[in-house]
Amino acid sequence: MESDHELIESANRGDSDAFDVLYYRYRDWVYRLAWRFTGNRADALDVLQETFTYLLGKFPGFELTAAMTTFLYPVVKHISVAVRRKSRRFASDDELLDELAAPASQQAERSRCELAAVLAVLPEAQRAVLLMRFVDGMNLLEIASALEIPLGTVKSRLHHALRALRDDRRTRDYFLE
Amino acid sequence: MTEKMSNFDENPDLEVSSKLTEDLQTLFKPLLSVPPEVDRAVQDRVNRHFARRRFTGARRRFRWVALWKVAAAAAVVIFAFSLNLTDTPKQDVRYSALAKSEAADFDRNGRVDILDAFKLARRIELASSNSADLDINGDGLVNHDDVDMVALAAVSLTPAKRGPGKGVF
Amino acid sequence: MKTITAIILTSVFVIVPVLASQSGRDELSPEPNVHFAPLHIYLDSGDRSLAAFQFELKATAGQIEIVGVEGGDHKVFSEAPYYDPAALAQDRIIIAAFNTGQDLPTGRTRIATIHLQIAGPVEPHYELNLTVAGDADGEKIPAKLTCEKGE
Repeated sequence: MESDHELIESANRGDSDAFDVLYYRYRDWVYRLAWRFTGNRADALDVLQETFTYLLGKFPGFELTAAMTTFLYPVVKHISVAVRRKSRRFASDDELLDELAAPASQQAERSRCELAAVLAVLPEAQRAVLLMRFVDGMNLLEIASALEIPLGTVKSRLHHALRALRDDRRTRDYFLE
Repeated sequence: MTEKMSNFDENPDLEVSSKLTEDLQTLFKPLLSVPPEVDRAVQDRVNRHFARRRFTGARRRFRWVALWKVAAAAAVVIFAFSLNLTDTPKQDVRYSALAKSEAADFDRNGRVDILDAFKLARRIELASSNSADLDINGDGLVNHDDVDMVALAAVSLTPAKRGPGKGVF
Repeated sequence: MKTITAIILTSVFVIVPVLASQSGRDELSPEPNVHFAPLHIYLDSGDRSLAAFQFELKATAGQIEIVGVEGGDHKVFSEAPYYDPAALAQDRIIIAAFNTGQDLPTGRTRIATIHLQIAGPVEPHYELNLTVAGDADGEKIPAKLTCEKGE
């Protein structure tokens, strides 16, 4: 499997198939992240298209200096803000957490609902780092680069987010003794 | 540095069970699928982009072509570069047209700017008028949607009349 | 036959320099290093309450692209302002916001932050134009617009 850098080199030389591979490699990641920021499917699809249009405009001459997710994260976030403003649909994080799909079993549903409730009261900065780590699969350096904050700040926010979950009786069971 | 913090520096997730990851991903990674028409739209854009740009590889190739083919190719390239890569939604055309329209110039200063949106918002809030000429977006209602439309026209990148220049007023 | 040969030769003399200049430009273009940086925008309305503003930012040097816009410090301008999404990935943007409330800022306040992607070694320079600033009555007021690079 070709690496992102190899695909980008090929696309810089005019290989449209290489760009297609990049698209399918990151399409779902961008879509889910956009859904998280916009709160609805239609806007998330708009963000998906605009994100890859933005990326497409960089060829030829694009150089990837970090992980692809690190590069895409702020792009998706800012385009999501613009799309939400344009469509006049404003979903706050709290509303989004309220809209999350209910899982199947009753026990699982209760624990996930409680997790959602605890997350809803976390400071936004801490919640963002937590989700980037556990949902988007980004390592701490990638998070620091994407958010343009020091690595220590990332560690601190993650530490406080996890501690809040650990200290809350509703989410304490997620932690190993 | 305490042992706890050094462990944290190396792996802050150390004490977290995998269930947290699973549940977070279930909450925030719903099974959303991208419709095939979106994939097709993106691929069309990709094909157009790569077709009209001149990418040069490691080796240069020179072809012998007839003059009329050169002229035809030049015409295609010129036309392609005149196209905007991003599709222009109909809404952007409406904002641009509104930016040049007197209908949204509520303070009659010759341009549509944010103070026009402000004035419209004030009139709506004070319920001082709901006349049809305030129904900017033509949906039959006079509300904040009309205000948004005026504001978006004010910031539309299509050139409109400009006020005084930079710096201090 | 001679005519065709002449046309072909003419084409070659047209195509070769064009292709040469194209490839030359591509080879000379360095692959830029890219980083993101915020640009904080401040407006000083003196002792007048600020209820509305509109300004334009344009890059006059450097290779920048606008990748996002954020609201300001004061709560009435904390939400993302109005701007044309077409400005994203360009180097020019018009930004505006207003609030019809009573609790309005005075003096110097950060009204917006523009997130930029900067490529290449050239230090970016910006041109800021304040189109209008308005008070709670919707009247134009004098104000000073400045910007500061963030980290």
